[in-house]
This record gives sequence, C-alpha cells and structure tokens, in this order.
Amino acid sequence: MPKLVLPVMLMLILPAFAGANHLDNVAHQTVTFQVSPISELSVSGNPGLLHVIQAVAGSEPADVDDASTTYSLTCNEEDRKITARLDDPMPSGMELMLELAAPPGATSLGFVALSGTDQNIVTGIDGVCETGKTITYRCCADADAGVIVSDSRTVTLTLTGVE
Amino acid sequence: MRKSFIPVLAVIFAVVLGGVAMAGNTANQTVSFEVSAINELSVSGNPAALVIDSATAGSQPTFATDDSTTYAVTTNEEGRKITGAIDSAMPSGVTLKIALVAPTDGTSAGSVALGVDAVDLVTGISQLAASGKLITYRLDASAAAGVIESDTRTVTLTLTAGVS
Repeated sequence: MPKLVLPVMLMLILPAFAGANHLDNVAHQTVTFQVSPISELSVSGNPGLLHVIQAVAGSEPADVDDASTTYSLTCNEEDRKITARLDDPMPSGMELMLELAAPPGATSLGFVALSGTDQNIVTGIDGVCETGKTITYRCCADADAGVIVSDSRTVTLTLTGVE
Repeated sequence: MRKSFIPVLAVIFAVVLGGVAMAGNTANQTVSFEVSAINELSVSGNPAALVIDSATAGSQPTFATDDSTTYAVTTNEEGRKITGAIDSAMPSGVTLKIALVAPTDGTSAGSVALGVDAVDLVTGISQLAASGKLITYRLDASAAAGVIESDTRTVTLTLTAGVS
C-alpha cells in the first residue's frame, strides 16, 4: 500500500507544475480605483462698478447690469445647486440681484435678490464640467435710497447639495 | 591436460586487455541538447489605489497615476509582444490606462486604454532578458461618471507572439 502513495503523488504534482510553466508568459495585477465626490466652483474675477446714474423723469432710477464675469464648475455628484448670499444687507431702497447661466441639464432661477441668507440661484446640477458660464448682476435703487457713496458687498457662491 | 589449459587462458586474457589499453586515450560521447521556447513575464506586485478626488473648476476631475510597479521579461524567441486586458469593463466615463516602458529594442505603445479585449502595450520584443521596467497606470474619470466607491480590476499582461 505505501508503495502506491509515491506514484500517485507524482501523478498529482507533475501536471500542476506543467500547468504553471505553461502560464508563465502571463502576469496579473489587481488595480484598485475610486472616484471621490468632487464639487469645485470658481469665478473669473470681480464685476465692474454697478453705478446707478440715470433715470427717466417720472420713473425710478434705471437698473444697472454687469455681465463681465463668469463662473466655472466641476461636479461629479447629483442634485447639486448653487446658492448665493451677501456678507451684509444692501442699503435701504437698494437691491442687488444675481442671475447665473445654468449648465446643461440644470435650471437657472433667473434674477434673484441677494440677502444675508443663502438663496438658490441654479438647481438640478448633475455631473457637469462647465466653464465660462455668465454671471449677471443687476443693481436696483429706488429714488428714496438717496445718494450712496461707493460701497461694496461680498457675494458668496456655494456649490452644495440639495437639503 | 589441465596444466596446458591455464597458459592458454592467460594468453587470451592478455590479448583482450591489451586491445582495451590501446584504445584508452580516446573516448567519444554523444551529447544531446535543446533550448525550448522560453517566454517569462512577471510583475513586482499590485499598484496602489488610484483615487480621483480633485478638480479645477471647469475642468474634468484630475487624473490619478501610479508608477510603483515594474515588470520583468525573458524571451528567447523573436517577434514577441506584451498585451494587456482587464477582466471586466470599466464604469461608464472612467478610463484605466497603462504604459509599459519598453525593454531594449522594443517599442512601447505609450499610455493605452485597457478593455476586456487585449491591446498591444509593447511590441518588437526579441531575445532579451530585462527587469525593473516601469509600469504606469492612469485613471481618468469625467464629471458625468459620478462618485465611484472603491472597485478593482484584474489586469492581465501577456507575453505572446506577434510583431504588431
């Protein structure tokens, strides 16, 4: 009985080695990959001075627009939105409005009056990579706002999730 | 009769041994040899995880690379090449590329996108032994690809026949 053990083992082992040699021209690597959430937003710079300077007699002063700046975004998440807010409220009788051109598939809410709390500007942003999207500011002043010496506000745009 | 038999045997022995001694300064052997086809390919290990986690606003997510692994190759044949393939397709919008530094006289195809069908990575490999040749992986993902949890693919490199 023991005499049979060695030949049987050789029969099992030899084909295994033969098979390994046959595959030596092949090498395997396991590649692990991952794509993390990415939400990047930037602007091209600051808009020009919004100078309310004229009116038609009998009407409120004319609104002033600036569309000289753009924004870019890269987002690989779904159902994102861009919100905006001011660091300080506008003077009484004045309004600063913002409109962003929407990236493909998203929705712009048009001109939105900015305040100290976040306002939705663009919604429904899904997995996009866009650049050069127009930012338009509109400054409105009532006659009773009076004369206002040059002032400024910081507008914060945020690419965020829908809450 | 018995006394005369012994000298006769001694004479026969001497003649026979004398003949062997005369041929003793020459010996012939037939040596058979063979070198079989040898095609060996190995890698140093697995690359580190390729993680895409950043982008410049307005641009596609920044690709990730890894060049921490190498391959070694020995072949005594001519006109060999190394091909690469993955075990299953990459997710939509995600591309896994590989570039192999070519051994002497071989030609690297540069950074090549991997798919389930084998693609040429290095061609023109003939009768060489080389080790420590760099493997570079690159992972690209479009914004539309979305977020992808950790996943893996098995990359199979094969040293095979074929000039191109």
